[in-house]
Amino acid sequence: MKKSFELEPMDPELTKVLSQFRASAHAWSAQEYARVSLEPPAVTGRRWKLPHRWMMAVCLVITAVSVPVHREQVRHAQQVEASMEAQKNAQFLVDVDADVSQRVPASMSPLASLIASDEPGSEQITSGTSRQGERQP
Amino acid sequence: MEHSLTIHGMPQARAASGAQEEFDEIFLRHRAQIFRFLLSLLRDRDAAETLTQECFLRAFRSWPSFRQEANPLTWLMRIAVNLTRDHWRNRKLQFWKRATAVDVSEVSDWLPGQGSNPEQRASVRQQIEAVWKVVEELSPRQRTVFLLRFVEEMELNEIAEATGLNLGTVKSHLSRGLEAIRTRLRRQS
Repeated sequence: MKKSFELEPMDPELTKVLSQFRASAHAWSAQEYARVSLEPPAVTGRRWKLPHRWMMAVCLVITAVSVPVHREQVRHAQQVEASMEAQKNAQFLVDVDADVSQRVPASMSPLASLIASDEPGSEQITSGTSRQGERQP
Repeated sequence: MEHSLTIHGMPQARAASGAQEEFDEIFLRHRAQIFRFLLSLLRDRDAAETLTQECFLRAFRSWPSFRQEANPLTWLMRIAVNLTRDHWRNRKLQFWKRATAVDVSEVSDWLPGQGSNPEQRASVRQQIEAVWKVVEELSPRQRTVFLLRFVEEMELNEIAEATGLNLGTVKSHLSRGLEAIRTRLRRQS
């Protein structure tokens, strides 16, 4: 010991035990020190570690955000497409109805009024008249 | 065993200067001691090795600001002590990591004095193990102070500087540690 402990002078027995403890620790450390393979602390290597971690974190955040956004966009596009399709169909039916009603000849109108709307075959007659009407210019 | 450990990746300007040589000298002179302190504190060779490297890396980074009038060993010990605090804090968070510290009974196998008879060696072994057990039971701060004093043989003011504690606290920690050892040895005998 370089200098005795100022607070309390140690008894010889304790001094001896601590000396043995120190010698034991030194011997153990010397043995372990010989076994370690200390790598040179690479400053340049460590500089890359932080960006790599940050890049990884940024990638994770981007993935976490972009996947739900993409799903939402796809869902929205599907909804818009379905809506447009429904509108298109509805418009088509309106056009067909308008076209059919315009093409019924005026001379056949009295006959149509004679057929009850719930009578079987009325649709056939109506469509027949429409086809007939188409032939007339 | 001589290690060819040198600090690589240094800036060219500094490598060319004398600062590089000065730091290399400090490194070669103190690396074994820093490793020993960390090993005895953590009882984990891998952790001691890693923290020794980290200690010198940090020292190198702050080497330009290091005041030459201060004791380099005390400065390095201060860095090492701070690293062990971070290490313990991380260990608390990483609770799933297995404990890698060497058992005190295994550490106590390293005995001084090869010439003594088996009975004496057994007695010495018991005493060394008793000290290690006391050291294990001390708080991290007390353990640090104790090992700096009784393994590294640092002066009280150097310990105070390395740990950032005032002299009174250092003395108090040492008193408690010594009293615990006395008690254990008394109980053992």
